[in-house]
Amino acid sequence: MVKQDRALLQTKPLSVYTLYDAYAGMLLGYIFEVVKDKKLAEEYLVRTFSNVAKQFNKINWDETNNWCLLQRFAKSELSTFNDTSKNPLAAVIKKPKAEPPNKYLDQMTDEQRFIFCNIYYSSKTTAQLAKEIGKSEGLIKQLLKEAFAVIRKSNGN
Amino acid sequence: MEIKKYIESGVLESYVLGSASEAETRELLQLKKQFPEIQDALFELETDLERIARDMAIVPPPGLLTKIEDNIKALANRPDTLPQTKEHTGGGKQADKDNHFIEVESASSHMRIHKAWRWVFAAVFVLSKIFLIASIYYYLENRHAQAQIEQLKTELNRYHTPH
Repeated sequence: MVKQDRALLQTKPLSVYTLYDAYAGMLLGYIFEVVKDKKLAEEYLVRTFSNVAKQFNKINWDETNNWCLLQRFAKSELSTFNDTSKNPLAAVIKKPKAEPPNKYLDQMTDEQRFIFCNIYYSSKTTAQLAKEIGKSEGLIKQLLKEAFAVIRKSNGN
Repeated sequence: MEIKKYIESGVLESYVLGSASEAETRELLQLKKQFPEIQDALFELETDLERIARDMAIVPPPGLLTKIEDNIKALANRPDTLPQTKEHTGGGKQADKDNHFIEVESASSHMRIHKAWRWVFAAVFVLSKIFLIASIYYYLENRHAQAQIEQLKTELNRYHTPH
């Protein structure tokens, strides 16, 4: 089934336009969760896709999941925003949310959610996070794994 | 290396979120090529991530794509800023030479045209239908006329034939 899905995803010819059609909404939703401002999120989306278009031919799109690659582009654009020293808003975002915005985060424990959100939205590395909260990298990865298990469970898989 | 233990370590989750270290990424990409179990586990995690994003998607306002196209034109002469990922193929100097131009829609089988063309296409469509109906009408008229001529000829022949 997994292989079938993969084959299906690979049948459509890829271009910036097909990527935009398939992922712009998802990317805008993701960026909005980070910046919490619709206009700013749109600006970041424009910058992200512009950079994707510029690098399009240099990337081996067949080897990587398109969504993950696009998200890395977005994270790269958001890196300045996520840098606390440059943007005071980032400090607020880095804190775990009082009211998680979706069904996946709702079902995670505080610890799992903290780790997941800090990596997913604030683009921290596991090593960085381990150092920041004084826990081992192994534990961070384990909590991340548990967070993914919760996500999968939320979908009934 | 015990692959099951490796998959259970959480390094795959860390990788799909882009938080793995360079060494971990390098090792993972190497192992991914060797072990289909890792490939499948990664695919499932990537699907999970897509699912979260899809649930939180926001429809982009119309006109954003045009903004992107304008931005691409403006960015064309600026230096590149690739995100940090090990998945990019280098391509070498030759690839750099070949990428002086941005081929935005290189592999697509679709094309985009100005909206004004839809009226031209509509007019062509309507005219083609009119011509088709007219040609059928004149064809039938012609057949009818031919039949009448044949009939008249037969009648004329009958009058001229001596009894």
